[in-house]
Parts: sequence; structure tokens; C-alpha cells
Amino acid sequence: MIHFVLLISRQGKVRLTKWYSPYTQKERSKVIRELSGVILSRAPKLCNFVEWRGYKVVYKRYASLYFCMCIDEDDNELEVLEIIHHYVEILDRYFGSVCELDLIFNFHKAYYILDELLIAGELQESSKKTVARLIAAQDSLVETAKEEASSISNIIAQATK
Amino acid sequence: MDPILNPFSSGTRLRDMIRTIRACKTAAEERAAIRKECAAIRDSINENDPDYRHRNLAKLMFIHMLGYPTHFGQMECLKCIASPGFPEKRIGYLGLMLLLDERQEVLMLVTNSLKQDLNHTNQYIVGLALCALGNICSAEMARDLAPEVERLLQFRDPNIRKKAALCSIRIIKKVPDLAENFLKPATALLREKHHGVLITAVQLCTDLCKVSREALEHIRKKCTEDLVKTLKDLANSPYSPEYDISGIADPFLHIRLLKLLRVLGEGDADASDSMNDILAQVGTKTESNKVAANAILYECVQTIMSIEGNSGLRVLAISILGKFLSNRDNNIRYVALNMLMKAVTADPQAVLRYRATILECVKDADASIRKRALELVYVLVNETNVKPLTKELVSYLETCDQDFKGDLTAKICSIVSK
Repeated sequence: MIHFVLLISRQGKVRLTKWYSPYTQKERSKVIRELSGVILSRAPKLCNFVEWRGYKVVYKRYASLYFCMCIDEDDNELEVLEIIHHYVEILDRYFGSVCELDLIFNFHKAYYILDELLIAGELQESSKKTVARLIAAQDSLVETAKEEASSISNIIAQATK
Repeated sequence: MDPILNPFSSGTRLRDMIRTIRACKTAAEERAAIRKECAAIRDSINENDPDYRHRNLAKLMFIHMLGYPTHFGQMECLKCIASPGFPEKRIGYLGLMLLLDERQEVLMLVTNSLKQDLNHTNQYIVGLALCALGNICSAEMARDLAPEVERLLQFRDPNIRKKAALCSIRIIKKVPDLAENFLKPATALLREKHHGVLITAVQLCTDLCKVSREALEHIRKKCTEDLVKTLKDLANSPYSPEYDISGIADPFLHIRLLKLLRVLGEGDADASDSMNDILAQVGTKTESNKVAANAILYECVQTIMSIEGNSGLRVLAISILGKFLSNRDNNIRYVALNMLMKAVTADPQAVLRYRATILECVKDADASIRKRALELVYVLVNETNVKPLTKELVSYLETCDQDFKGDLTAKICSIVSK
């Protein structure tokens, strides 16, 4: 299974963390510090897999961001590379040529998308189209709720004039 | 102070707070900004105004990601989850998953909301609850809510069925005793056509087999044939833009099916027999040097090596390994070394044929590859080859990296003492 997902910038700033195994807040900070050190110091031509504390960490750099997923020793590293790419492509379609700033200002959306891709550290959906459709449906539920809320407050504002 | 001008009132939008924090030039400045913002959020929380709850929680999550403590916001997650609206629940559950972990007692308070949401009429809310439960539940919550999740495995919408399947995985891992409850609904899902449901159902069945001997025997007996057929149909399916990756239809489903077949074939000659053809097909027909194809071949080789013997297939597997070992891509070489480690127990002679290439890998520029290769050399050492192998390693010791010298010396010593 995937134990956690980590997105870090070249400067070591955390852009997203998702934990599928029990790690306390303290343990999480330690893991992030340690792994960031290991991954950010890897030379560019090396393989995308790092052995770490009895686990394997698969990472791939996209522009200024490192996408990392920690998996079990007997999991398929090559597949996880594809899962990372799957996520990146979905983000790309959603934001329209995604960049780090998108993920900073819309981090919650990046999480919502990840939640349509993985649950309990396992893959949930292999169709990018389906994920996009589900996210769009939920986004529109939020839009509708916002519109209703603002139209109600308009009515109240008019009534109390 | 005018909320528009003050970036630290909860009247400000999330975006503006983020901008202000990013504009800080020193760590001290950032700490001060965060302190101010947390104070404003605390005040807003104390006012208990439902309108800002959503925004406060989003801000708290951002602050949390920067590494600052946000315990005071945990109850806000609960309040959002308990709200009737979808937007609040969405951010509430996200906050729950981010700010809490399963060991915290506060988590138990969500059980009731989860139960209600698992029975909600809005399927997207059911989805939110399944996701949260699947990611973060404790053993106690798993026990409490297992019946709801079991029921949802048969829900009318496939997107809920697939979420329920993954949620079930977490439940049976936390409470293995419950595995038998999920067996029937899980195997029923294997007949579906929806890819999302299939990949999650196959994964659920795989985990059921790991957790329960009865489940393994049941699935092996009842489902092996159908699974082989599903993989066959998949491998032969025509081009589908929705699932195509690098010219292959749904490599993820391919891989999960291969993994389950491995679990079913291991130690059982009949089951292994029934999968020989499809393994041969996947092993020979999967071409292309793309990651997706190689990931499938990797899984295929692993399955061939684990199930009961078919020498023809083993030869095929080793030849795939041979190609991998000479691949220019570091990732493929690394994975090949992994596979060879596993192949060694089954057929050490076959692996020894690649001795020269393996020794080359001990000198690779990539530390991960060097490490793997060294471990492999250690396993390959026997009385006849110990002299030449150790000689090679010692000569490399003179030229290799400082940090690798330690590992290498230790390995040489253990070889000698073997």
C-alpha cells in the first residue's frame, strides 16, 4: 500500500501531505524533514527509487515540485511512478497547465483530487475522465450552495432595508 | 480595523492570507504573521459564527502544512462535518484527515456523523464519509461502521461501490475478524465491468486473501477462472482512450489482476495451471519501453516466479529479466535487480548467468542500484565462485565512493565468514 504522499518544492517547502498509515504529528514532521533531505540531495540522473527505513519511496520531479509516495518493500515501484503521473495529469487538466502556485493557493482542491484517486493507500480509479467528472460534480455542488447562500442574504438585505 | 485592509481578520479570504504569509521575508516575520492569524481564527471560532467556519478551517489547514500547531482547530472539523451543507462537510472531512490521526480520542466523536453521512441521500456526501473512514478510522470505528460499509458495496452507484471496497480494506486490516463478512460482496464485485470497481474489488480480494486463510481458499476455488478470463479480455481489448496509457488498456487493472493471480497460484498447482496461458501471453505480447508496459512485465515476472512451476514460463521470465538488466533506464535496472533477488531462490544457476552484469551494477553511479547489486552478489556467493567474486569486490573497494566503502567492506566480511 501507499503509506503516505508528499509534495515538496526544491526549497523543501511542503505543498501537500497525505498519510494512510498511523503517524503522529511529531512523527510526520520527522519523516518530512528526513525524507526531504534524502530526496532533495539526489542527483538528477539517478533512479526514482530510494530505500528508506525498510520502505521504498518512489519520487518524481515535475518542474519545481517533487512528488513522493512511500510504499512497501514488495510493492511495484514502476506502477507507482505511473500513479504519480496519473495524478499529475489529472491536476494538469483540472488547473489547465498546472504550476506550483496553483497547488499553493488551491491546496484544498489538490487534496480533493487526490481523494478521488487514492483511499486507504490504494488506487481508486484508473480513468482520468471519471475523476475529472466527479470533481466537477462536487465543485458545482459547492457553487450552487454559494449561490443559494448569497441569494438568501440578498433577500434578507432587501427585506431589512 | 477594516477587514479588507487587515489580512489577519477571519473576514479575509484564504487567498489573501496565503499571499500575506508568503510575502514574509524572514522566519521570524512568518512566525509573527502566523501568530496573528491564529489569534484571529481563535476569536472567530469563539464567536461560533457558522459563516466563517469553512474559511477558518481552510486557513488552519494551510497553517498546519507550514508546520505550525493547530490543535485548537480540531473541534471546528467536527462542527463542519456536522453541518448539513455539502461544502462544509467537504472541508470538514478534509480537515479531519489532515489535522487528526487515528490515535486521537477526538476522532471517536465523529463516528455518529459518519454513520449518518454513510446513509445520506446525497451520494457525494456518502463518498466523503467513505473516503474519510477509509483513510483514518481506528479499530473501534471500523467495528462500529463495518455493517454500513458492507451494505454500500452493493450501492447503485459504481463510484460509491469502489470507495466502499477500499474502505473495506482498511476495516479488515484493522479488524481481521470481520474479513468473512466482506467475502461474498467482494467476490460479487469481481463480475463487474466498471474499471474503478474492478481495480478496487481485486485489491480488496487480494487483501482478504492475506488476512484470512478461508478467504484465500474460497476465492481460489470460486474466482480464479473468472479472473483469468477478465485479464484475457483486458489484454485483448480494443483501444479505449479513457483507459489507454502508452498503448496499453488500463495497466493498473492489469497489474492488480496479476497480483491477485499470484496470491491464488502460490502453492496450488491447479490454480497455477489455469493461469499459464495468460501469463505467457502478457509476458510475450507486452512490448514497448514505456513505464506502464515494464510495470506490467515486472508484475508478470513476479507472478511467474511465485506460482507453481512451469519451466517454459520460468525461461520466459528470466529472459525478460535479462532484457531489463541491460536497459539504459536506471529504474528498469533497479527493478531487474529486485526481481533477480527473488529469482535466486527458485533458480540460482539462471541468475548466475548474469554475474558479470550484476558486478557492473555494483559499480553503478546510482547508490540505490549499487546497494541492490551488492545484496544480490552476497546471495549468489557459493563455494565455487567466492574467490573470483570477492576479488572483484575488493578491487572495487579501492576506487569506490567514501560512503559506499563502509557497506562494501561489511559485505565482503560477511561473505568471507559465510
